[in-house]
Amino acid sequence: MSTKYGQLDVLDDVTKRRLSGFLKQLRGNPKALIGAVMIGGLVLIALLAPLLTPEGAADATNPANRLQPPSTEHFFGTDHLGRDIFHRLLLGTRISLYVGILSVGIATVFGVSLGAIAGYVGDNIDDAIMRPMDIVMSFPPVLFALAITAILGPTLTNTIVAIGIVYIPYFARVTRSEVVSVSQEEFVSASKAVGERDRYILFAEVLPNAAAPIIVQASISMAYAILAAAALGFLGLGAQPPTPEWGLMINEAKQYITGAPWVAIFPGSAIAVTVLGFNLLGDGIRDVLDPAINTQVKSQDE
Amino acid sequence: MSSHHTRADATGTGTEPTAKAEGVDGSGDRLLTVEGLRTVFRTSEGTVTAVDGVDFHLDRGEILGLVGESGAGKSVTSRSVLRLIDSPGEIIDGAVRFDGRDVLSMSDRELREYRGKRTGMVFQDPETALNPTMTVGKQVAETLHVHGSMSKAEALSEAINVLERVGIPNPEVRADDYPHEFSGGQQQRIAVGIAIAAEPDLLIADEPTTALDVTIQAQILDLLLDLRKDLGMSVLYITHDLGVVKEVCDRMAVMYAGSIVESGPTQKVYEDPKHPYTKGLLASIPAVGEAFEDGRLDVIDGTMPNLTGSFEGCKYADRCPGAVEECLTDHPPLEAVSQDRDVACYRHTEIDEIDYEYQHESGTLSWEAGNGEDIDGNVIEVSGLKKHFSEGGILDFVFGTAEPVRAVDGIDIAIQPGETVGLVGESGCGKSTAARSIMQLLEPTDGSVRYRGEDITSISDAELRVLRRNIQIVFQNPQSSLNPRRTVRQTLLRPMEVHEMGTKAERHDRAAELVEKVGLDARYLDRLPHELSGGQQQRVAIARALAVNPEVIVLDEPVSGLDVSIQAKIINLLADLQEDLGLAYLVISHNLQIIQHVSDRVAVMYLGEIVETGTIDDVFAAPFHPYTEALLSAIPGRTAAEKSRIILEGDVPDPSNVPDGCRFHPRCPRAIGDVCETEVPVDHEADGDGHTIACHLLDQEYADQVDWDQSPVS
Amino acid sequence: MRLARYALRRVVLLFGTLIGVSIVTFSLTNIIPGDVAVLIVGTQGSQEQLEIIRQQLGLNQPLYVQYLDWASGVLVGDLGNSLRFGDPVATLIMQRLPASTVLAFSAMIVAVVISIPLGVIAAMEENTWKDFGASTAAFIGISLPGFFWGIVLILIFARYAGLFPPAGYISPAVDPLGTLRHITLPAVALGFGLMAHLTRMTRSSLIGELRSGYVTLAESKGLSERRIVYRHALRNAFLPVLTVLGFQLAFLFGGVVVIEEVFAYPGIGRLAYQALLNRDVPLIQGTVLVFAVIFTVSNLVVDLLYAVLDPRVGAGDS
Repeated sequence: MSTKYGQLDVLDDVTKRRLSGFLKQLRGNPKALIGAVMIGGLVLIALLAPLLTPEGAADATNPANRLQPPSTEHFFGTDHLGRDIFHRLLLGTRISLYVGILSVGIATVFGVSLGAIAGYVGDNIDDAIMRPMDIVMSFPPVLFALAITAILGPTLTNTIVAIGIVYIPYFARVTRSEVVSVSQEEFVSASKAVGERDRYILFAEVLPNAAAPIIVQASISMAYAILAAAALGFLGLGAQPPTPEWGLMINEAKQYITGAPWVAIFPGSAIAVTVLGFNLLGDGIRDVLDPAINTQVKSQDE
Repeated sequence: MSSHHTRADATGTGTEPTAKAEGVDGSGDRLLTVEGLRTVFRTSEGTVTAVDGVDFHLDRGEILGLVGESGAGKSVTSRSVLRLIDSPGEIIDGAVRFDGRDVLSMSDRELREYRGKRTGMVFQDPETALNPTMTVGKQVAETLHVHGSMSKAEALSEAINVLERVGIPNPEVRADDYPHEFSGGQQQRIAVGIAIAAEPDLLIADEPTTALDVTIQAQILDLLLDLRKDLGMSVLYITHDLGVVKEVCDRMAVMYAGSIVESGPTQKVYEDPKHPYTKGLLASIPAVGEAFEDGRLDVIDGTMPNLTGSFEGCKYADRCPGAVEECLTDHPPLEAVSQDRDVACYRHTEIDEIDYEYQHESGTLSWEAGNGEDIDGNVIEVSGLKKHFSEGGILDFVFGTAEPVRAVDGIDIAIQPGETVGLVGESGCGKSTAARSIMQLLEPTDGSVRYRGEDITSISDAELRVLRRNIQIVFQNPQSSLNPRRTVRQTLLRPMEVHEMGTKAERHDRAAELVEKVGLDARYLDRLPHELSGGQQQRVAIARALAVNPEVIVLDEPVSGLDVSIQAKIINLLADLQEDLGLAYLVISHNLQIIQHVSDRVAVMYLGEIVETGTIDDVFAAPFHPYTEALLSAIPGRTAAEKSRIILEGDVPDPSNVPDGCRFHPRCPRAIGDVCETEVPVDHEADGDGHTIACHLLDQEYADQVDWDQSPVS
Repeated sequence: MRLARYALRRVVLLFGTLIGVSIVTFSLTNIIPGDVAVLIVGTQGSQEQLEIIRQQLGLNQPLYVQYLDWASGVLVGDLGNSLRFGDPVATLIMQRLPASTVLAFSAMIVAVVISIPLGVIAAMEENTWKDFGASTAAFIGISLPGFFWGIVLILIFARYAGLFPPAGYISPAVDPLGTLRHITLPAVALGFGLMAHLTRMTRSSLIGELRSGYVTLAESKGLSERRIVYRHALRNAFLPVLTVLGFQLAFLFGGVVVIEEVFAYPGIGRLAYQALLNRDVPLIQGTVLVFAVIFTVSNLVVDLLYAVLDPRVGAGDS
């Protein structure tokens, strides 16, 4: 089985083997496993939510039925407008995951590119890129995101954009430091000595080897992003009613908390479960990718 | 440096320093006895028996060398003596008796006292062994006031004395400094100070000089011998370097795969080894072993076995050229064959008949033709090469701390086709920077590098890329020099693709050919680097360098990280390749013995400059540049016993702080005064073919101030 | 000497950053879609009224002039007047700053005082149920949003137990005991996330340090476990913890805004929030700037503290 060499074909043999080895290790790590299961469950819910929710069930206000405790008819009870909380939560899953993935996506794409170039080229370009990053990082992220949504207008889209922008510097930093460290490895010098072009070296040699901490950062950032989105929703500067966004739901539930605590508890728990899942997964991946913990059995024959 | 320093009793246990003579064999006090020691590690892959029934003893005042390659179990043995084995390791069998007491059954309190007052340990890497956030004075003083009867204040002032004793200048001031403010050699001195502060009876030194430069190593060895004399302590010295053993150890024990296979007085074991492994090890060392006429070393096949699980038969049997039926039944016990010699081998009486052989069939690689016509003159010519680094950014500019680091400050090197030129020097001398600058991996600040007459420092990027085919490089650290995400095949194919050599099918064929040429089986083509051993990885790195059919290969410390027996094999491989393919090599190393073995010509580098250059015979014989002389004498085990070694003072210098005049003058044992401090020496011609020495002593004026016959390395 | 040089470098860099921060803050408010003047006067306002407002606020001048105007005002303490409240922005901020400072500090103290010992215990009892309990609690702590905690705490302690007031603040100058009562719940809510992060970091850092070479050497010196942990390992383990603290400050400051809102706590976080809701441009500029400056300076303080504890920082400058 000969392997063809080319960019795409690299995904073929080697990466498959590495991937399966990696996944196997991941399976052995309890944190990663639980996290992955939780996230998997949530993704499933997000995908199936529209099917599980009868048409308009989440928005159907029913004032007569307001603030009902959990029952067989309404698993999680109803909120102050008589809407079924369970179904709203299900739909809210879509929103939270959507926000998380997109905002982290934005941050990754821009942050990793900027950080990689800064780290690889170094010197003045490095300064030119990282100083603005430092300046953005001088603002507390939630406040900054808040300001952006307040100014641009509080919508879900703007929430995504705001959180994405705010997290770009974190990705840039992590990528930069990892790229700097990988660039000092001798195989990078060896590639140069062979006559490879810089562009190739950065994207095909350095970045794949720098991926590990970036992946960890991405997973953990998802957790933060979802928390941030919830905070924005809670403060009314994120998604607007009647969107079943979890943070917003807690905001709406605030004043009824003494009489009907479940209206706030369930959305809060939903946030917690989601964030917990991403944190566990991120932690687990970090454990697996940490070379100190991985010992490979070496070849014995010379 | 060897001030005879006697201190008031610090520990309160009343141990008087006994100035014990050297060369003990059973006549002194027995201090430490280890019998049947067995230490295991329980891992997910099985139980690893790191120490498998080890017996040895140590008398008062004697230095015992525990020798072996990596994985032999020497470190674990030494830690077991101090019971420093934590889960998943465990000492499961045997006895350790120290001064009559049973160490293995001590209580926690007794154990701590034993470790604190009676023994001391020095580790391999001083940088990680010292607490970075505690001053060195406090670290030295700690043992004294925790275990002794001193107060903290008394202990601190005593610590200053200890620092002075181990050769730290200005100890009163420097006791308040932190470890990172000292050089590597000084850090190790501090570590030694910590170990001997309480005047222990036993010092365990685990590869204490492996990470140090050879001249610094000489200082530390000197210090240890000195301390042994003053304090009468015994030393258990662990190392893989047989030269060091010869230099400092009274007796030696050779370890293999967790067992001791031979022990006895150092001199005798050296001259008359009785175990095939010892014999093989001695033969693998360049310049110590006997090389064949064709310059190859005798090598031991195979590698040390995996210590997981159990063994059947002699552990060395599968690598031993003298293995017979009997050897496959049981691992031979360690038995006394004379009053002071022990061997674990069934055939030790026939040791003279057991020999190692190295066979090589010559052959060439395809695509060899078309390498260019033969030329007169040098294939590589480096002239006045300089590489300076400017430190810092804008702020340093403002603060005025922007001193350039003159890593390479004007060197000339010439390499003829098919020849090997060695570049030797210690850390910080700039040899690695020089290698990278020659390869244009770093942009030279000044000077020229000519390949076949063409100056490659001033050509365009595109032209350089094409020329790169002809000059390749192999790096020091094989693990770091292979992309961990690429298989061997991909690593080998890529250079050929970059240079568009041959068709796809031809490249695959060549990859298979290359792998075989460097001595690896074809099945390794689809392995990833982490699935290979260090020696195998280095072979792949060599194969990659060969892939584009170069004329010159630069090798930056090609065998430094490898075990002695593997080193020998790689050295042989390089010699084979040179012979078969007509390659020219530039070999960079800090190891003079290897340089001497492989090179035709050599250049000695110090602080960015070349101080001596010439053929091997010329440079390694008088007249010397004083630095060359010191380097040679610093090689452990090389100086004859009657002559005293040259020990250079001070540290390996820092290229950001270059002395005036001759750069070597602050450390030079032969400095003759003002001229060395003010005038930069020129390259003087000495006897021999192209032999130059940059030293004032070669000047007519000063030539009579030195008598080369008196040199310890003549 | 090393410290002085390092501090000087950082302070010089700080100025550059602060200028950048002020530019970003200013630019932020200038991308508000819609006319500021219209915002103030309302859509019914006449052209003359709009022109007057524009003149007053200098909105007709080029942007960089507006920036310089504003920036020079900042340097002398004049941040303009709040559109909503009318009072000088600086005054509004100064009124509320003490409350927020007290809150933030309290949260940090609570977090540090609980998390470090917890982390040490978890590390030393690695892989026992004590460790597992602490680690799990910490994990859940970092996963729950601060505002949720706030609400729960209000629910439990304020409403049901009636132990603490659910809102408001009293200055320590007036009634220190009252201050304590008012800040307990918000400080705990705010500090909980921080506490969880610090516990985890302390634990993992200490476990890592206990595997270091110098710990083995300390063992070989015959030192007791207690001494090794408390005199050697802990000090080194604390460094990464300090780094995490610095990193988490960002989220602490962000959390201030949220928690103050939950507890109707009259601090600058709440002020900033109201400013954003009301599109009160000068107030937004003022509060965001103050936040950013305090945050940046706090980071500097943490870095300097780190340099004090780690003698390797800033070394190597001849």
